[in-house]
Amino acid sequence: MSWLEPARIHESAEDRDLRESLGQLLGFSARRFFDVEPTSKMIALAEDLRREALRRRHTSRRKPVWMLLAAGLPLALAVSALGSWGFQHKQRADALTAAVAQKEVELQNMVKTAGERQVQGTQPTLVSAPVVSAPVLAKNTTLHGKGKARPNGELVLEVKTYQSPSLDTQPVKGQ
Amino acid sequence: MQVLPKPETPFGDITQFHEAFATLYPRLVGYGRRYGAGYPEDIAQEAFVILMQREEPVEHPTAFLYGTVRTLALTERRPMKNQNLSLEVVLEPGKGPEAEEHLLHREVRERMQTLSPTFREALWLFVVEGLSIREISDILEIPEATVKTRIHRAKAQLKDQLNPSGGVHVLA
Repeated sequence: MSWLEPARIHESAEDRDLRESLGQLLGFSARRFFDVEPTSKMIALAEDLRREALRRRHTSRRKPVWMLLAAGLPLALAVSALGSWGFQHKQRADALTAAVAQKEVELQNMVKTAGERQVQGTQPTLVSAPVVSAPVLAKNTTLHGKGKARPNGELVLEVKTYQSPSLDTQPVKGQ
Repeated sequence: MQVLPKPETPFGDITQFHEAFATLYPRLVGYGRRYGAGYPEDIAQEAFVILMQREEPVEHPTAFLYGTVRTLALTERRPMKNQNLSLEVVLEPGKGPEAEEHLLHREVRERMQTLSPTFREALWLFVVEGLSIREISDILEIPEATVKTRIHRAKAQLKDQLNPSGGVHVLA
């Protein structure tokens, strides 16, 4: 038969022998399976099915595109909305972080400037203080342990880190 | 390089399709009935429509039809309910699948029934339906080597049934 497939036409002799021996074991008489002549009713049914297949092929061409669009549109909208919402929030968070960092820098600068001014204000007082002779100074410093006297009479002051009076001092009443 | 024209149907031209349909349709109905399908005619027709509907060519159309009938019968679907054309309408008396089943001797059927379902399936397709190993592997979706193994095991079981003491003889 001309419509038979190559898989069966070119079947190996081994497979044919196997089929034959199995047929003998089963007591199955080997018959020709593919020698049926089509009747007019069978041909009519075959044509009906062929037309149905063609009709489905033509109608099913455009269907998937619309179906995909209809199904994918809400999903795409939701994803884009979520994306834009997230992007806006990220931008806002970035701006806030930058503002906080800027404020911190400004505050540090202000503290630094105030400290430097205070140091500059106290320096003339220290310079104009009366110079005490070395032996007296040595005596005082030995007693209080707050300074050191050198033999040549130099005054050596202890360096203290300056702290802003506004931060760690308390106002005295009545002054 | 010459490009061959695309055939009108998976089986070739229209005449070849009619011949293939006349041969395969009753067999597919019988195959669907074997799987307990309530409407095997509908299933066989739907299988043909699905095959013809495909735009991409199928390598083994017969195997595709058997595989589709098997799947549809197992899933208990009833497609094309409005286009039910009963097999009795289009087949001449004595040529239906029932008649075909009667052609199998009772002894043959009994021997087949004793085999395990896995081996019986492969054996049926190979011997009774006359399909090739390649086609059976497509239908059952298993490798060709597995099909061959099942058929050979079915053969061994059949031999054991026919000659119960044969195993001892072989071992001796």
